[in-house]
Amino acid sequence: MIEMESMLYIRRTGELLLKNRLEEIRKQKDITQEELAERLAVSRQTIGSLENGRYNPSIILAFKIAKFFQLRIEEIFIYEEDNGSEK
Amino acid sequence: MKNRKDIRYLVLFIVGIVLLGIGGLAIRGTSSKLGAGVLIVLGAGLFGMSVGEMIRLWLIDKAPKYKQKIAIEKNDERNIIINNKAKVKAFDLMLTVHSTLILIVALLKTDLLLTLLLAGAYLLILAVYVACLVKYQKEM
Repeated sequence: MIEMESMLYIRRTGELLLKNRLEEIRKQKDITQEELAERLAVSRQTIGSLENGRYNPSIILAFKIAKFFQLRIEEIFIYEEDNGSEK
Repeated sequence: MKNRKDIRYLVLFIVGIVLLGIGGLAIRGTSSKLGAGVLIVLGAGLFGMSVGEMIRLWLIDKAPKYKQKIAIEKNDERNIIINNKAKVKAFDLMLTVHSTLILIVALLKTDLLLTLLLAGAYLLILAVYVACLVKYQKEM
């Protein structure tokens, strides 16, 4: 039996955590999740998951978000390597 | 009728009616009742599906806001990833289930053709998997 492992599972072993300040920045700008989702052409659930840190955005979406708030990506998303101490 | 999808469902609608008509005529005639039944079932299926889809597309056209929402939900990257992840899980399971099924059918000593058909289908799926791997390796 050939073991079928998708690229999607790579994240499970080498977990990459991406913290973000999306909720904070969104609230500063007084925008609802629905409005932001509509402007970025994504679902409201995607915005919710991003804010909760349950979903890492694609680089395209990260750029879209940064462009929308007129900030740099690093100002919104903070990359942290998992050293096994978290979780 | 505005786009390709509409035209496709219109064609399926016409094909459905034609199949229903042929099936209806055939069942009264002397030809095979089974063949006529298959034609009627196929025709009715195509007819129902195409009418349903045409009504759905017509309703979506009437509500542009809803149309936009559907497009967003469909193209949402998180939804696509979730869908792909679910497919990956199902595919892994399907390979295990399928190979077990081939083994059971082979052990039951039923018709050899059935075993070969199942094994062929299994190999076809694996061939598509490998072909896609090669294709995407070249593309990305």
